[in-house]
Amino acid sequence: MEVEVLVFGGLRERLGWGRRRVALPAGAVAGDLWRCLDLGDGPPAGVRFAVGEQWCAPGARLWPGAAVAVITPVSGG
Amino acid sequence: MAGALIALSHEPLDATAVAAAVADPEHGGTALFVGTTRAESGERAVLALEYEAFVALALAQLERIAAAMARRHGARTAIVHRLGVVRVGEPAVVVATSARHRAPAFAACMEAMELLKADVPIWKCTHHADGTRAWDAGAGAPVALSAGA
Repeated sequence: MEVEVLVFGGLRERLGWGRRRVALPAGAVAGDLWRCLDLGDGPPAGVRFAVGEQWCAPGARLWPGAAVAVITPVSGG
Repeated sequence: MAGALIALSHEPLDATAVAAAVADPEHGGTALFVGTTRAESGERAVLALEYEAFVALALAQLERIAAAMARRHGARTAIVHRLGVVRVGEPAVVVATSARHRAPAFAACMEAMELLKADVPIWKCTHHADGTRAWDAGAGAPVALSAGA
């Protein structure tokens, strides 16, 4: 299945894109994105995920066409 | 209670307008926090900060913070955060809260700002005077903002 992945800030610059369709195996969960993006074995502490305007757990099952944001530790203010 | 004023802006912030947004004849105390770009960071000279957000989730989170301040402190809350390049001396974020008395107004203002720094998807890149730039690693620990919080 394919999902839409959004990344921001330093991670966006590291990957060289901010939004991209990514192929994942059926049954993939949000946390699997970290490995699929060649960022390491699993998301480090502090990295979160969101689908739309809602946070989701790293273990949340994704679905085809879902727009998933990878949220690295924030630094507003 | 929705936030009195919740926004992300590429334009310079008007703290007076943010404070005015929480005016309420039942509220005798208003607290205002203005976060401004400092000229140094870690003993390095700074030219500007640059902010980027996941806008949809950031606005939703700011609304959740305002709702939490209403539940916890009976406060009206307005929050406006800059996006893009914010030069030294310019406000990057303005938080205004009003409540019946000063204690809950101050508490809500402090708490809203702490929640913003921990839990709103906004990222900061520092532009140093030596021409280098670096994204802040982010120190904010996630804070749960459940409906009952």
